[in-house]
This record gives sequence, structure tokens and C-alpha cells, in this order.
Amino acid sequence: MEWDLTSNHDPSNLTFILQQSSDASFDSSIVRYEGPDQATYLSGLAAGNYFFRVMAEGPQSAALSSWSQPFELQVVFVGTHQVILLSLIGLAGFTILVVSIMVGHRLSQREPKVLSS
Amino acid sequence: MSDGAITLLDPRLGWALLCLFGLLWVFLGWYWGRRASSVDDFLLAGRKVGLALGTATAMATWVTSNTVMLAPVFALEKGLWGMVAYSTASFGLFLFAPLSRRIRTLMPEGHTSGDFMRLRYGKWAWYLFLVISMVYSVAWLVSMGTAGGKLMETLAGIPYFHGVTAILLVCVIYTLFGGMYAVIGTDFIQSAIILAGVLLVGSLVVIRTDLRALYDTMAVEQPSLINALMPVALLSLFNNMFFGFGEVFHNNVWWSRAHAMRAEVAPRAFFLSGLLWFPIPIAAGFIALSATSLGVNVIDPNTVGPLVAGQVLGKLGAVLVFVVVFCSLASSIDSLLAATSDLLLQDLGKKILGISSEPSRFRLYSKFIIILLGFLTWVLCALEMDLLQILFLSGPLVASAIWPIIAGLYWNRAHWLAAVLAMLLGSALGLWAYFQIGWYTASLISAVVSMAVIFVSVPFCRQTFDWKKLHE
Repeated sequence: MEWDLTSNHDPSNLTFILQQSSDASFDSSIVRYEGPDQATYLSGLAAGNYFFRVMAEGPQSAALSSWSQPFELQVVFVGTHQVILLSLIGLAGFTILVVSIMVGHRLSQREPKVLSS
Repeated sequence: MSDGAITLLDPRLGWALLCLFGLLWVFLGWYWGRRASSVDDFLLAGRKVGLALGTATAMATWVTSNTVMLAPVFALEKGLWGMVAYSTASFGLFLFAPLSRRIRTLMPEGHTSGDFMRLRYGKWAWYLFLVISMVYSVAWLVSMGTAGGKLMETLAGIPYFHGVTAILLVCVIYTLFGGMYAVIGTDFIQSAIILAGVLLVGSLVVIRTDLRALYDTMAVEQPSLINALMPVALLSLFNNMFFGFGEVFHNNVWWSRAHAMRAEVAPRAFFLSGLLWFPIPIAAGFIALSATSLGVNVIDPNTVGPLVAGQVLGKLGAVLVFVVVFCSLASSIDSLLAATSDLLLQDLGKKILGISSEPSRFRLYSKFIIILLGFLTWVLCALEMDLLQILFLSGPLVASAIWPIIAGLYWNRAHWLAAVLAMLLGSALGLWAYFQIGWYTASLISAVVSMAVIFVSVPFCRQTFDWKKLHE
């Protein structure tokens, strides 16, 4: 997630605060980032809707801007049925592969004389 | 809080480390390369590599810059399962152990994985296999070069293209000097540095991290990362596993090592290298997971591992990471340059174009191909392509070759047409899954389709393959 200044302030002296909330009114929120960077990488959110807003502060924690317009993010995961089906296929494929190599290895150890003749 | 744009090392220190280790690898390459008197010496280190060197070269080759960069990305994006998913790439080494014994038994004088496909399945399967292998090998080389350039830039402020050029130049020079002797010798030292470095950095990060606070922070800010049922993470587990099987089973990097090691040593060396490799992505991944609780702001996920290590451990951590990254880059790029030039020379040059196999000329051609591959990689690295896309797009291609190789090595009723169809259909449907469903299903779909084609074809195959045809 990236943000920028609309005014002409030097961003190097500023602190940016990024808030995250599950409701647009930000009644209950957490600070996801506080520092000089103008971007952060978000990962690991659970499925659902999230709202984010940013504010800039000056050197003495003086608010330089009001909160930005909230940005809404929707996190959607792959469907459960698809995950279960593909996981079962993967497990079956892995089991067949391991068994095939182990059986092939065991059987092949019985035929060295045939190969070297 | 940190700024991802601020480098962790002074560029002069970065260049000094780059020059110091670069000169060391070139010197060792020249020193060990003096032993290579024949073509077999140059390409396969005389076929008598022992357990310690064999284990080290397999482990070091498998720790790439992608491991150092992508394992933390997997952990950051997919959490605990992401770390395990990346570690499953070691299963490829475990299962290649029995395959390597079979390879040495069936082809005691063999050179390349292409030799096997040609002799076992004939020219059409061989041609298709060569295309798959070359696409993957170039993609792997480019992804390593790109990752290396980005890491050098992040860690020491060395401009991306300068870093790529320096890394490729060093690797090409010492591979040219010493061939497989140089590659395996330097791999031994590099593997020791990588293993010690990653485990040291991982341990120091664990010691300096409050695990309770880490869990509490993640539970609030990144709950999916500690969710045992995170859908994409679960799928990436199997996808990564099959991708790893495809990479190891088909690529000449591993076949050339199987041929280079003493026959009785190869299975143990591959198994041990898998054991040594397994904890590395977990250590690298943990470093990334701790980023949020340590207050490190991640901007570019591709550089999260080095960024956290540098922030937590200061200059020492940054130097350690720089050295580990350079060793992991060199140990993989040299191996890939040597093995891919071998594949091109033996299969394309000798068997298809019919070039002279007179030893002095053959070695000259080999060196020419190493330079050509290095140059091609350098040019493609200039495009700065997306790392994940480069790597995972080749996943379905290599996964489609898993079953033709297993069936070809163990079953005498695997038909050439089935091998061709397995690779074609596996690759096509795997690529379809990559674009239509997601990258985390591509290798899985490809491997399963390839397996189905091989299994369905066996009852219809009336020919029994004579294993002696593999003795060339």
C-alpha cells in the first residue's frame, strides 16, 4: 500500500500513520504503520472487508493533515471445496509418486545381474 | 522503523566483499581446475566425487538466491505453511537418492539427462524434453541473476546492473577455468558458509525476538499467517513439492552430479543434502515472520529476509547476509552453467548437430557455450522481470517430466508416445491452471495430468524395453 502528499511539504521530516479498521467509521482500529516511509506491504489478513486511512504528522507530532479518505480492501480466499479437492489430489499424487519410487527401487535391486550381462 | 530505500552496508564495503570473494572463487576455480585433464574430468569431475563433496555440492546448488529471497516471501505471504511449503523442495533431493542409484546402474557411462530421454524414449520425447529443460534452466539462471542484482542493491547500494554483471562475470570465469572440479570444490566451501550463515542469522533473530509478542502481533495484524487452514498456503504446499520434484528429477544439474559421484556414494549424498537443506527455508522464513513484531517496515517483500537481518543484527548481520547471498548465488549459477553447457554440448552439439568429439575441441566448445549462456543470462537480467513469475511459470513444464522419468527408469513398459503426451498435456494444462486458477496449482495439475497419462498408457504398451539399450 502506497500513499503520497498532496501538499508541497518535504516528506523526509514527516511521520505517517496508517490505521486499519474493519468498519468505515474507524470506531475500533489498530495502527498498522507509523514512520517516515510512504509505503508498507500488507499480508496475512483474514477474509473480510478492511478500511485503511493515513495521516501525516510534523516534527513535534503536530498533525499536518487530517485523515485521508478511507480506502476499502476486500480479502477473498480460494473456495473451500476447491482447496479440499486440490489438496486431496495433491496428497494422492504425492503418495503414488513415493510408493512408485520405493517399489521401483526395491524391485530394481533384484536385477543387477541382468543389466550387467 | 526502517526505510527500505536505505542500504544496510556502505557500497564500498559491498564492492570490497564482492571483489574479495570473487577473486577467491576465481583462484580456487583455477587451482582445482588444473586437475581436469580429460573431457570427463572437465564435465563430470572424473566420476569419482566422494560423500562429503557430493553432499556439499548438492546442498549448495539447491540453496539459491531464490531460497534466500523467496523463502522469506513465502513465509511473509503464506505464514507457517509457507515456510513448510518451501522446505518441501528438499523432498526432491530425498527421492532423487534412489533414482541416482538407478541412473548409475543403468547408465554407468552416461553424461546427461538428455541422454536418458533419447535412449529410453527416442527423438520426439528427447526434443520436447530438451525444450522444457532449456526453458527452465534459462529461467532459473535469470531468476538467480535478477535476485542477486536486487539483493546487492538492497544490501549495499550496488547498482542493480553492476551487481548482476559482477556476479555473472565471476561465476563464468571460474567455471571456465575448472569445469566441474571447480564447481564442486567451491560448492564445498560455499555450502559451509551458507549453512553456518543462515543458521547463525536465524538463531540470532530468534534470540532477539520475543516469541510471545510475535504471536500476539500476528494474531491481531496477520492472523492468516498462523492459520493452519490458510487455503493458498495449503495448496502451495503440494504445488511447491511437485515443482521441486520436477526441478530435481529432470534437470541435468542433478543428473551430472549423479554421474560425477562414485556410484555407491550418490544416494547417500543426495539424501544427506536434503537433510541439510530442509531447515534453511524455515530459518530464512522465520526471519521474515518476525518483521512486524520487530517493527521493521517491509516495502518490497522480495527483500524482507536481508532487510530484517540487517535491521536486527546491524552491520554484522548485513555482512553475513551479503556473504551468504553471494555464496548461494555462486554455488547455483556455476552448477547451472556447467550442467547446462554439458547438456547443450552433448545433446544439441554432438547428437543433433554432429560436432567433433575430439577432446581438445570438445572442451573448447564447452567453454564457448558457458560464455554464451552467461551472456544470454546477462542480457535477460537487464529486463528485471518479476521473480515469482519467472520461476513459477516454468513449474508446470518441469512437473510434466516427473512421471516420464520415474516410469522410464523403473518400468520397462513405458512407451515413448505416452512420455510425449504426458509432457505435452501436463505442460499445457499446468499452464492453463497457472493463468486460470493461480500459480499455486500449476505444478500440481501438471504432475497429476502427466501421471494419469503414463498410468493409462501402460496397459496398452506391448513393447518391453531392453535396459541394455541405455548402455551407450
